Amino acid sequence: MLFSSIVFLFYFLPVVILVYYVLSFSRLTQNIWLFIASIFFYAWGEPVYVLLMISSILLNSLLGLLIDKNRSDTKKSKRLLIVACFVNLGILFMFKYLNFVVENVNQMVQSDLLSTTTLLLPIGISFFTFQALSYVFDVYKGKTKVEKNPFYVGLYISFFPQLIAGPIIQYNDVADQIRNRKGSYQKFSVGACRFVTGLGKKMLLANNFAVMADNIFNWSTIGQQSYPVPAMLAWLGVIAYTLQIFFDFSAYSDMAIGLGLMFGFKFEENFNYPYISRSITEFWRRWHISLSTWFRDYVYFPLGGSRVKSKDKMVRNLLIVWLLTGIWHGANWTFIFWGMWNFIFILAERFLNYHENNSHKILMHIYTMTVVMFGWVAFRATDLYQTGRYFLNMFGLNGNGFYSELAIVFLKENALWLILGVILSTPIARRINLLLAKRKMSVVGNIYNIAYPVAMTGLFIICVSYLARGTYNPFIYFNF
Amino acid sequence: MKHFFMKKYIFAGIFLLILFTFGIANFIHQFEATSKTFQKYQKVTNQEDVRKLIKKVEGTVNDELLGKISFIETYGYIQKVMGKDEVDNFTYGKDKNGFLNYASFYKEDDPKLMEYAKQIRRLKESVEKNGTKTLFINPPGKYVPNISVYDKGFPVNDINQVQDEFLLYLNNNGVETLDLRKPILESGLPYEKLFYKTDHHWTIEAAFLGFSAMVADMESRYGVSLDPSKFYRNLSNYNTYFYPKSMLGSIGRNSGINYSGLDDFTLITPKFETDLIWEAIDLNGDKKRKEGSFEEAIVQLNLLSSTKIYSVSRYDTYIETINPWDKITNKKNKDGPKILCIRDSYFSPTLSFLAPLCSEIHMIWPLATASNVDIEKYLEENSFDYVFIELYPHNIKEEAFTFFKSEVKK
Repeated sequence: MLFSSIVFLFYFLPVVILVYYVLSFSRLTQNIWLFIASIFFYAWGEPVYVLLMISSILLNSLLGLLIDKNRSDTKKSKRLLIVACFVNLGILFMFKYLNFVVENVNQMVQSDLLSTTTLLLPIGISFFTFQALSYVFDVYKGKTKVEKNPFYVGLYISFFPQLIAGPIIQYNDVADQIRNRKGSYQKFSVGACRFVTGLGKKMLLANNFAVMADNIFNWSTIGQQSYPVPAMLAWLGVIAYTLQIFFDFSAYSDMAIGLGLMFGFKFEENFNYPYISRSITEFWRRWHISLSTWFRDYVYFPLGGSRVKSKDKMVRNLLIVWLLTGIWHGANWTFIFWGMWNFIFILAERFLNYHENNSHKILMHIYTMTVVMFGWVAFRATDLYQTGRYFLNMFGLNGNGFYSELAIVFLKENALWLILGVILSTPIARRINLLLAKRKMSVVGNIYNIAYPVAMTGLFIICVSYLARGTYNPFIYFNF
Repeated sequence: MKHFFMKKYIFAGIFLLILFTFGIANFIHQFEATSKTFQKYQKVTNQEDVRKLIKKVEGTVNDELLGKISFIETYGYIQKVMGKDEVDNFTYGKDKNGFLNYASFYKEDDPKLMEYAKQIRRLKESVEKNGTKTLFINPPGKYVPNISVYDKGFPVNDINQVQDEFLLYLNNNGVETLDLRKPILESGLPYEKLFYKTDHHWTIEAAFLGFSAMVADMESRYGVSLDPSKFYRNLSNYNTYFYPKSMLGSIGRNSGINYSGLDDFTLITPKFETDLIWEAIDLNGDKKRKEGSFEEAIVQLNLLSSTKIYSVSRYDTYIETINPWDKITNKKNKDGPKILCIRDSYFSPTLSFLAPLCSEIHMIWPLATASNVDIEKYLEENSFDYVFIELYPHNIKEEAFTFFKSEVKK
């Protein structure tokens, strides 16, 4: 089930909200209700693989209990942790990476040595697997108490706002909220506004950028003899994808955070205006924060992080994290390339003392966005060969020329969205909001207080109109 | 702080109000349709069945949304305010005069065009031993270069090249062709009178011109005397009823009246006496029959008076536009030619005008998704003076060529 769907907005969500607040007399029943609703939410899209998720919940709940029970026996508890990692990652590997490995082995040996499977990728498996591991790790490390109620473990792993595309919530951050959160109309209101803002970003911005990006990237796979992609069009495709991936993913995070607030949960932010970054290091402190935090806490720090005696070890640790980050995003060499691309620049920035040696903010920003956008080409392309062809297209080195009338048509058709996309990639809206909030009882402030609910209502109705019309509505993080 | 949150409190209240009131009203509105869908697909024996059930239920929820038309109109209004010329990921494009055409970024050449031409040749060879004449009729597509003006680079689907190529292949295969593009476009009627802005069809006026051109061609090509005094081709012998701003075509329904506007519709019926029988088998396999004058047998008058602009097309007025099989019998011209036309909806009005000059016109729609007629068998069981094949240019595709896929055994 998608957040941006009629079934979710006018069937699922009202029922869940209504029953949740009717059950306000009991936190236990509220949590069980949210768990049941989350299972139903997942089953709507994955009627069979919901059993896989339920199995994951039961297994990790049990392992958490066993680890806690055997805490005094460090060897045994460690073995149980290893079992947890093995099983969780094994399931992830089987569904997501097995065919990739098999195909590459067969290519290497030039024969069909191994057979591929027909297993489909369960939606959100990367997200809920990482959340499950987070629970087991946090129990093992003693960061949090074990949860004896499997429904609560289930709620943590399967909570529908962040089940399918994050943010990845660490168990430690939400454990207390499961039992002791305090709902309020203020929280609900902030959540509702956040949800509708995310819906608007998705329906109006991300989807329109997707029309350009998906078409241009698809054409680049046709072959320049059949359909050349001039440099101008190729650059427009990259810019469109840069905006699409940000607005699509951050929109989903907004909706997830907003929905969480509606039920009294406070999730951490997942994006912090990444496109204003002036270095790749800074970019990764602003982009998909929950993922980079997860890798930092559960991979980088346990390996020693950067506080290791040997610089080689530090490089090794970074390499492992970025290799895994790339692999996490998908079973394709393009994602590994993309992970390594980021690794190279992060390492270079570290060794070259990038921030200390550079002060020209605009140049730093241009450098960052160039590296990020080139990385997105690999991220979006179907394979490394297409990545290379696309780079050639961008510089007119593929016999494709420079000027494109179609690019002008795209720009004209999407001028408003592109301008809004660039502006809203910066924190300008937040600054204006804060500025107006400070004005309190001023005329401008009062006008804003009236205009805001009117504008948000209008935005919601417009989003529903686009949904009703059945416009192009892809969800790119569904592959992760 | 309370002041800061006041605007959010207000919106949250509105949000809840919309969610619950619209949610309840929509549920009541959709209950019947959704229940029917659920009952139809509820027998699940495997995971595919479950997925299908969920997909069908979700599809019904989307299709039967309360106030869907209002939402589509809101979408269309926003598109209009933004000055957008493309609709739905460039599925359609609006030209400078407001005419909606199919758009297409990239279309691979159909490698089977020559094969389709061969299939028509095989049809021709199979019927010519009975003296039956075969003719492929090519109606004009809506996009006309230099008349349909778009911004440079706009990916409008110019189907003329496909038409030119197909006509060449047909001629190379010895199949006679009638290209209606020239007589229609050079008829003197302005482009706005020949095509609808919101629909992919030509207008009834253009369909009448098509009929006139067909008769002229048949007289010239086959030496028959169908209409020597040009009586039937004289528009003054017909009633014309003008219905201004009354039609929303198939393309316009995707974006709403706010975006595409409404078309005028002209109904043309003979002033002279007619006595016709129209029979049809629809997609459900149900038989239909009407008898009487042109207005009684051919024209679906109830559609003209319908206010359901979004679901009823005025173009359906002539023999319901399209059925898998139709037949018009002219009781006043039993010695007239007997024609089979393998056709699409474009030719419904044209064949209706041709009916008074013939004894029988049989029609088969090769793209029917149900109640399909086996064309080869139909030709074996019936004999005709003429077999016409008419396909609107965007229908020149594999699905339409269901006949004579292999060489005829001689």
